[in-house]
Amino acid sequence: MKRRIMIKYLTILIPFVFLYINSYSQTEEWIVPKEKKEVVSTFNFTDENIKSGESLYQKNCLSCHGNPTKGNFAPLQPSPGDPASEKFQNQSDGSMFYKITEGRVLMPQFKNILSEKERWEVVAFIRSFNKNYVQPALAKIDEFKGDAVNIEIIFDKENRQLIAKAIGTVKEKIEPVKKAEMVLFAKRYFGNMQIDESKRTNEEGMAFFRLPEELPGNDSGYVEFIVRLNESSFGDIQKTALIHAGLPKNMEKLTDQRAMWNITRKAPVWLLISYFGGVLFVWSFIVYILLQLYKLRKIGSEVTNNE
Amino acid sequence: MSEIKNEYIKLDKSAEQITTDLMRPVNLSIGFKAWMAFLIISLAVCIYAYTIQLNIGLGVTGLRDYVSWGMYIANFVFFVAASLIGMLIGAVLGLIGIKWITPLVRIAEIIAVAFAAVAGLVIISDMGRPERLPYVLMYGRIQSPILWDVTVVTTYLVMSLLLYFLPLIPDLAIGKDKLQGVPKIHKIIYNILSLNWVGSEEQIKIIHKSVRILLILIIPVAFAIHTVTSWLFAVTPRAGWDSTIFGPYFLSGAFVAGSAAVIIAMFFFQKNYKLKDYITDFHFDKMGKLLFLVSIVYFYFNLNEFLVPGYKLKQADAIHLQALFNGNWAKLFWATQIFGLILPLILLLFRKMRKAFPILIISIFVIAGAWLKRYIIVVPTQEHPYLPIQNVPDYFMGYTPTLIETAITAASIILVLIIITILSKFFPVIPIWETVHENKTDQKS
Ligand code: HEC
Repeated sequence: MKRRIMIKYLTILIPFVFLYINSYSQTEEWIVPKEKKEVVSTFNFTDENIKSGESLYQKNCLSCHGNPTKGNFAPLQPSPGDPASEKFQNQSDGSMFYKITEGRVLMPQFKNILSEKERWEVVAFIRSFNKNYVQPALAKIDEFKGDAVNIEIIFDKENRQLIAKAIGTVKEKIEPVKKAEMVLFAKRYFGNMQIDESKRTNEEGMAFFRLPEELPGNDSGYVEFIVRLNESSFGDIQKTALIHAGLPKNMEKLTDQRAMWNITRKAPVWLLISYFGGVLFVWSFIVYILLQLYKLRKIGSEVTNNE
Repeated sequence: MSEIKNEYIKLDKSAEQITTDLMRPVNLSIGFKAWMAFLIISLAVCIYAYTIQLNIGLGVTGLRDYVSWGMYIANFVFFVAASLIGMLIGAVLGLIGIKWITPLVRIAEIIAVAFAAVAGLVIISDMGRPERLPYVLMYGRIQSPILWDVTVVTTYLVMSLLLYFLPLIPDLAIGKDKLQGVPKIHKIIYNILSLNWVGSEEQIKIIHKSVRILLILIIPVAFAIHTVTSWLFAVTPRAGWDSTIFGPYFLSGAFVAGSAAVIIAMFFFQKNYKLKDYITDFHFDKMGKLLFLVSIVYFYFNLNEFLVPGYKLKQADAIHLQALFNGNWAKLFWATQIFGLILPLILLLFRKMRKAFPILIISIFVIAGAWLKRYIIVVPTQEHPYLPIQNVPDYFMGYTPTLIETAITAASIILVLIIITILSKFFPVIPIWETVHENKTDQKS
């Protein structure tokens, strides 16, 4: 008897235990690769950085993480946590940067939403709530010591690919930017859409992106492309170009045809007929009756005159 | 003195006597002057409130971003509603040949004219920049129910005026010789407005034909005016307004408000104008039955309007109904439904309750309920918009009318009373010519 009850309880309990372990394992341990943990910013966190980090935070993070120090983060599972909390702050800049960049489950990936510099600025803002924080030594920029970088975008129509070429100036000498990460986006109504994978530039500083066959463009088929050079050494570089590489979008304007939401001149015909027809119908009778009253008055005056 | 015959009161009086009786109230008595003075002083105070709104803007009202339609619009809907009674009594009952309405038709028409005329002004009082009113016609979109509403309210007002005026013409001709102790101008107005009426066959034919056309035509126009007013709400997807039965729901509610208004007016005319022989307990009984009929129809629409969304409980509807049934609107809602509709319905079943005084009290409750019901239809919906209310001061979230707003609303009601008083005091309130005429044909048969 007792055993049966025990078994009954266990069968009920076991799924809960699993659930608990499951959610526990998910909330714990966000493993950051060792080399990513050690990544550091390329610039010193200034008040200005913190300020722009704050406005980026308000726009992108507030809805889930709440106001730092207030603990008013969204009640999600796993919990987003308060950025001012110890759990948040007890990690390297690199870890934090990595988590923001890559995301996990509910935590969105900001790789394509915020630029590298912007992500670091958010980190700077989060760190501003930690009094004990000391920024580690800056990353050394050793790959490329140029002063200016320019990206050239070429559309290879035949192979339907976009070629981006990064060229820098080093000691007044022009040189290609080698082995740098490049990402291509097409500008859409809401945000940017990544096209193809991120690529590394070759020896000539070139990266090749395959374009999809049916890429919607604007009315005449132009697409606004954005090439971003994702290499912290150069700061933030991106280049946009309007290229005739998409399909013309033949969307009819919502105000082209007669419609309920259009101006009066383009009102639906049935409505014009009903409205003006109705008004005309009723008012013609009203006018008729007014004329009758005039007639009535005339009849009366004739009668009195005759008498 | 008189007997009930053929469902109407047969008067045992000569034509001469009837004319004298019905013309007697037409004079400028002390009572009238005092009453008018009171109305005009009250109006002046309320108009002062309006000048404040005109100078400062709608900020002086309780209207804010979320609740942008408040007391003014509720009052407007009520006015349009009350004005429909002219159509119900004059046209619907008249055309199907009901006789007992003869002494009540003009009262109903006066109420229609007064409420319809002021309804337009109420809309203007809800405008922060009233000088832009012509823009409605200059730039208005024909697709907007607001433009339709402006059109039908104007049309209905003109037709109601004609329906008031046409049957009055013979009375004016009769009255211009009978007027006593009135300023000269009064007689001159009678003379001009009587349009040389001599009662010739041709003239009678014109009046009969014109009135008949108007009576038929005013039915669809009256339906249109209140249906379009309901569409101002029902064409939006908001909980509480998003309803397919709003047209008939408003229309039936309108008849309730209008019938109550007529009963109240009947009572005062009977007492003050000494018309006991013309407006009798029989008429109150009939009006009581009419009020019951329209109320039970209105009750039926209420049932539909709340039961169906209450059964489905779509999220937005659930929030809305919760606010009405047991939230912060519950007290007002249940008081309105019980005292303005359900109790009157029960009481009206008893013959004793359809006598002049009890039915006056019932009608006062009904009409107060009708006004509040419009308020409950207009305001609570806006307190729960589909998008969240964010980053605004606390007082933006609800709505409480301010004193200025209330005074301006009072002004519109005072104006209605002034119009009713003037029309019923300067001209006979019961049709003389028709009463005499009906009495005569009856005596012959
Ligand atoms: C849709 C909600 C959401 C948004 C928006 C969001 N986060 Fe998160 N974030 C989460 C959740 C949920 C977690 C916990 C993820 C986990 O543990 O798997 C998290 C975790 C994190 C972590 C790791 C915390 C830790 O304890 O190690 C960091 C850092 C972080 N978020 C930063 C940001 C920043 C910076 C932004 C804005 C640019 C942002 N988040 C926007 C939901 C969000």
